[in-house]
Amino acid sequence: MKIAFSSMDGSPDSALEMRFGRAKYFVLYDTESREFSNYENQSSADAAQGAGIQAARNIVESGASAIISGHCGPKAFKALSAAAVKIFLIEEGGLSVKAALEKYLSGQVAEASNPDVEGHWI
Amino acid sequence: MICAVASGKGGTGKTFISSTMATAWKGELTLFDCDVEEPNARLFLKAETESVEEIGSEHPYLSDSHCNGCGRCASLCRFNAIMHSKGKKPLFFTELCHSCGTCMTLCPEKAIGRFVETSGTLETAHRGTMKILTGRLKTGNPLAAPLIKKILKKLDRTEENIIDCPPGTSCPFIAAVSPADYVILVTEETPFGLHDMQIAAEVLEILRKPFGIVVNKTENRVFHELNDFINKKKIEVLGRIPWSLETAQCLSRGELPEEKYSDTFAEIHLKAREDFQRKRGASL
Amino acid sequence: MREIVVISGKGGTGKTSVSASLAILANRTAVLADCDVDASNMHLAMKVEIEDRSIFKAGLEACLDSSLCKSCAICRTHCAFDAIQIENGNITIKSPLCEGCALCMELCPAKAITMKEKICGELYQSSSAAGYMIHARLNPGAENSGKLVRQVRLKARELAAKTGKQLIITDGPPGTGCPVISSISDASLALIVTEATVSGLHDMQRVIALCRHFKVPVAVCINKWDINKEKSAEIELFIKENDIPCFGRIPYDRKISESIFRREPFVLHSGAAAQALCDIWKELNLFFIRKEQ
Repeated sequence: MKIAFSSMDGSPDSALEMRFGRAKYFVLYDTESREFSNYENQSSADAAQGAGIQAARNIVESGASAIISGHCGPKAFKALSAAAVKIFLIEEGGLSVKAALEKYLSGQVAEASNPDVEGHWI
Repeated sequence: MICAVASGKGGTGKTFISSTMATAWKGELTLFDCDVEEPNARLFLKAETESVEEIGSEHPYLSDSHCNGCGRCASLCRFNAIMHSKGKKPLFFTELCHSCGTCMTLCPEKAIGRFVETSGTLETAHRGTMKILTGRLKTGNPLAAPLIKKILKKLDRTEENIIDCPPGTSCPFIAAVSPADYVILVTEETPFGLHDMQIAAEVLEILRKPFGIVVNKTENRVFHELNDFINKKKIEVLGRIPWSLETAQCLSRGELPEEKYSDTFAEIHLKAREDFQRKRGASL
Repeated sequence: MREIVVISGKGGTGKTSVSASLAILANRTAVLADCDVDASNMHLAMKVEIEDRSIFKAGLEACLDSSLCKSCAICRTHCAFDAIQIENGNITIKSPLCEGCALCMELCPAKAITMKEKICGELYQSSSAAGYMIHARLNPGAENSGKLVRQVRLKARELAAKTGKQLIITDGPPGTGCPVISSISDASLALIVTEATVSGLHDMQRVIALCRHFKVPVAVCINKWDINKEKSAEIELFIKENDIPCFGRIPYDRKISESIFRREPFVLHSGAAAQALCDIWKELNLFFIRKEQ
């Protein structure tokens, strides 16, 4: 299974982008091969509106079945849920993608059952 | 004539001017309050709402049996209002929908229909020979322009109409001034007022709308930059209204100083009509 | 980082004059941001010099190649925004009305329409006596002001981080729409400048509801409070009942309009209004000290 992380620049060492819809890249981690790759999300980061939905579409396109991010608004949540993508949110800021992955693998990140912010997140 | 009263800057006295001008008109007139986020002309005019009509926008809805899940609608939608994942039916986010009709028109299976969702209300009130139509945006609905367009479909070109426009110079402003024959821009004699009026004037030039200005809250001083702008652009000054503490206090109580300004506004209205006739004559 | 956003609901309550005066009181410890991108005025409230500018693009607009156009007007029939009009027998696209849906491009049998990125405005970094200011200008009729607001805020945060400032003072937009939401989301405090009028009270109530919804802390100050003391009392009662602090009352002072005219924030002049502003500044600082404890 592939897990996506919202990130600032696409490398596993980059910081976790807290805003799902505005992430410039998704870092992808394959739990079987244990390899990293990335997927550009510029189209969503630049979107005039509906960034969360565009990002959700990109997640589906990337083949990831789970997303780890900082915050997720109501529309992105609905869109991801519709595509059966699992959502994990880490509130703590400043983590790298690798650190977030470790946290996830050690079972410290719970699956989100609701959006945690309103839309229009800066 | 359809006369829109607008201002780039908020708080210049736009509603005061449009409402008082409406009361000064002798005869039948319809006042459209298109400041749909904060409509308050009716409050100043102390007219009771008689009826409320729901106004809606058309949005797409999916006829499940026709949809084959191809996802073309989602890839066409420029507003990111449609979510699609392979093998699944699309999901519509009406809050992002601009009602452009692209998905409905281009769906290869003709699987997308229209449904109407309420985006606001239109309230009707009367005061003597004046009819007041108030548009009110449903709270939480971010798109004011479609509602304004719908409300202004009620305009009767053969009659006298005044439109109280929303502030600013973005889409709601454009929606409100678009059907007007003539626009009265209300400004103040301050650098803020001038700056915002210049932007509004620029939009009106692109839209080729004739307009004149009313300078509100004037004081005894000369504002060269404003005068220079007026002279350079050859803008018709329809009136100047001196600042008055008494008027400010009256308005702060939610009352209109109608009698005091009846003649002033009748004259502004007349000048606007004359300027409109002149400019229309020149463009023919 | 402390981020104060000054908003009002109703336009013309004195939001920009208050923001500019707070900026002066911050004595160069703050980065200033003007999020009223539709009608930005903070750069007019004091003397500023533009140091850097960049173009702001958002969304798309339809562009017609008239040499390919066969004037069939299919585009015009389908445009939901009346953006396609006929002028002197030629099809023309009215840029301010176009929302960029691209339906016309898809339908055009002559392939005469393309979509291009819409230039919606400009973003500026300026210097002023009170410190750096980020402001913007949305082109007339352009939409996406929410996105431009977001860019102003991000630029201001970036600049604050770079210059080691702990405070951002933002002049917000009027109303309760999308640009206001973009301005207040995630801010440390929304300072509402209201005025002692019927509509001042009404619009303040709406904007308080909005802040509550987005979980942004709120404080109120009443401008021109003595124009209608009864209304002021009503406003104070309302905010008290809703547990919202009143940070001050600014009396009506004709010198304020004079100071706007001279592009000098009114706090620079002596008088009751300037004193009221100093008191508001004190309350703001106390608010943050308590909050951060």
